[in-house]
Amino acid sequence: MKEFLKIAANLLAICLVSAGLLGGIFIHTEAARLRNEEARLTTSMRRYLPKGAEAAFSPIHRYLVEEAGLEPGVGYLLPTRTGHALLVLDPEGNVLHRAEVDAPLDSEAEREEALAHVLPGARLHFADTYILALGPDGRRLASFISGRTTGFKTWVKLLVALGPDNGVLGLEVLEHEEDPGLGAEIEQEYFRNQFTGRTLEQLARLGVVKLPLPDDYRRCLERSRWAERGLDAAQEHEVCAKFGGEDIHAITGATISSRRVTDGVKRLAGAFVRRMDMVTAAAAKAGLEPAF
Amino acid sequence: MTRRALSAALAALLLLALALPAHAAGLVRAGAVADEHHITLELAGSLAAGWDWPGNVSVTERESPDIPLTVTGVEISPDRTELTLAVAEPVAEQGAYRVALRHVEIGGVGSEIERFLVRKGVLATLLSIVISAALIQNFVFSRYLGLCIFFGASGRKETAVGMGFSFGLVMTLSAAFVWAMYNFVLRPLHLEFLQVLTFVGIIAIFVQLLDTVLRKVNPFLFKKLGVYLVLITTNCIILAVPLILVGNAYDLWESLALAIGSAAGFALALFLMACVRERLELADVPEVFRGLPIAFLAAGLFALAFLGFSGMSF
Amino acid sequence: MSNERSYTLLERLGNGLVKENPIFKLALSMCPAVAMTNSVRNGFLLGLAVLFVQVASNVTVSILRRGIHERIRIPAYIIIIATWVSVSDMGLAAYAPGFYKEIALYVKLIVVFAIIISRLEVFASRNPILPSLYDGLGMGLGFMFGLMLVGCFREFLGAGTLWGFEILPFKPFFFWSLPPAGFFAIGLIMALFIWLERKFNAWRAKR
Repeated sequence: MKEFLKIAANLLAICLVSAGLLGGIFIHTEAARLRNEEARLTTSMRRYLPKGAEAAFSPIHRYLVEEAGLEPGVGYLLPTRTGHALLVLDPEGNVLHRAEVDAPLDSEAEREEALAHVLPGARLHFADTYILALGPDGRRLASFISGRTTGFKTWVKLLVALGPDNGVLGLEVLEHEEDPGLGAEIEQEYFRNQFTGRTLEQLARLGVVKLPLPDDYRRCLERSRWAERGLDAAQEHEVCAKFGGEDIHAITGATISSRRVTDGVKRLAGAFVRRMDMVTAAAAKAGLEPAF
Repeated sequence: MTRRALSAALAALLLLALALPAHAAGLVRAGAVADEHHITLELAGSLAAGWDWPGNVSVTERESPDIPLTVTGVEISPDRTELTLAVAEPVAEQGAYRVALRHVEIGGVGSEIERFLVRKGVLATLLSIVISAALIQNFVFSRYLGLCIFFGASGRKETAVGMGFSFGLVMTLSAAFVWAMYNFVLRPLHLEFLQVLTFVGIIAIFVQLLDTVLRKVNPFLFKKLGVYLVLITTNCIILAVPLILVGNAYDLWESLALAIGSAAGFALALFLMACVRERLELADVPEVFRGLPIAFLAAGLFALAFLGFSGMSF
Repeated sequence: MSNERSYTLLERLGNGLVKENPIFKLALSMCPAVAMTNSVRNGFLLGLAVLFVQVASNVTVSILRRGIHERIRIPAYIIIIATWVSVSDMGLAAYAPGFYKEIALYVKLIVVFAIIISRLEVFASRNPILPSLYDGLGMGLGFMFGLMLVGCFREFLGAGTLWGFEILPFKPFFFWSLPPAGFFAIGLIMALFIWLERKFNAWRAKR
């Protein structure tokens, strides 16, 4: 028994020391880590803004709201000119609830608490976040939609950047588990940049073709790699514009991944535009002044 | 001893079966995603004549009730008890879809609006987790984890079976424990940063405990499995499974299904490899390739074969 | 059973790199060696992280070797490794975000690399601090060397590049970029190691 106690005490001491050490380090590094992550997201979003433009990033959080005995609604936590507001819409876009929210909303926990306060008794599921880049006059410079879509193997997380006219500014692949060398090529520039510059109407009709990528098109898609070798930017732009109206060229050996990502981009962008129209109309009806 | 364990296992299974939610009785009995563009609905009775689909059918994803999918056609089976909805947007088997039928009369009962949630059943989801962990995403041949033990214990069929069994035991027990620990202790206390430390700690202590208990309680079983128990601690799979189940926010049953599937996949890999290596001993292999090098080449062939499962869903 | 041999830095480095190379001779920690070696760069980054954890845990265990009870040494070692892994994970995320972005995927997995715990068990728990430090360095570098060798082989044959630089304008054998090819690459290099060792021993015996 004494032996057992000794062993237990020994193990416990090791566990406590290491947990304490980790706790200390965690407290020291967590703030820095969060700052880094935010900075990384901001830098990757800034790439799609006009150079030198002054922009504030304001997020719209979307929630699925389920209340007993009611059709599920969609809740938007959006920035207004004076603060934040919650707007719950039914699927047709009619306002179910509206409320001003003046609690701090910086972390997920804070948001959940504020929402539970505003909508007692409702079940809320966080769905996604749209980030709008707003100019100093409140005009929308760009919108960033993050969301996931099915890939060939599991999920693919995408970030789609849309311009003020809802044309595609760019596509980033945030996370995926596709096969290296095959489906994983979706993160390469030559695939992602094919979406750049499509208007919303073009995007809606966009298909995927199983054709080899023409050499000069590939060169202008892989801009960052070829820029170092002194290619004429204006000329490349022309080439890209020439091919810009064609369908997406599927990755060799990964047609399904290419098709799924294309469908995902179409779905995310379409849903975003539809929702923004709905929210703007509903907010006007509800007497809210959204910041965008 | 074994009989009691068996009856306990049976009781647990019975509990599991009872815990499954029963289907709500409605006019639509069942629904499933048939393929990328079709959803089938099984009706409780036959659909009254005269109902036409345009304007009367809507399909949305569960997460976005405000974005309707485009229904391009509805096919009614000859006996009028089955509907096949064609949707323009791709639908996935793993997803959940709300279907609403308006102004329908089914089996003599009329309804202004009939809603149904099309999703995979609980048992089907669990089964698909097991199959996917065992074959499609086999930990050894598709995720390349647990290789040290894999090459160490696949020399003989007998060791392979022993290792596979002990691994399954530890994996299942520790997955349940890790799940409880994460959901009831780490998450409520916001200690997620300790997850790796806690998980390996739980596993290591678990292995040690099992070793001590087995030594005292059942020396015969200990003699058979004891050797493998210590090795299990250094198996990558045993940490990968907790990380995956936490990452995917699995519930207890799904976690158990993942643990069982991964253990079955590991045991299968061990057994297959052991069969090959027993044969290889008799083969005329070039001298420098004897032993591990040729085992690696054989494992490579297995991995290529398992690549064929890639992208399948069950 | 502590032996009174004196270990020097040079001897330990040679031991880790060649004589007891973790990948090709001990055949430990094969998981990363198969899955993450389709380029030299990946191999290097992962090797670097392993080097740090191996040295740190070796030294810790060597300091604590008299305080840890015999019966619970495996859990204790694992907790020590997990601590160092978490420390490097959090530290890198906070102070070297650019580097962390590339390496984040691999860091957490290091906890279960068999090479680290086996060195703790075989070496660090029986030897003083300095030799343990040398042993950690040798094993870490040996591991990095092994990963980079496999990475070189696969990246050159699979993509026609080395460290991302284009060597050949085409992809010679796409097969080598696929994950299962890691098994073949290691099997072949392992056989090469055995062959070289035999030649060397025969040559030494003749002298």
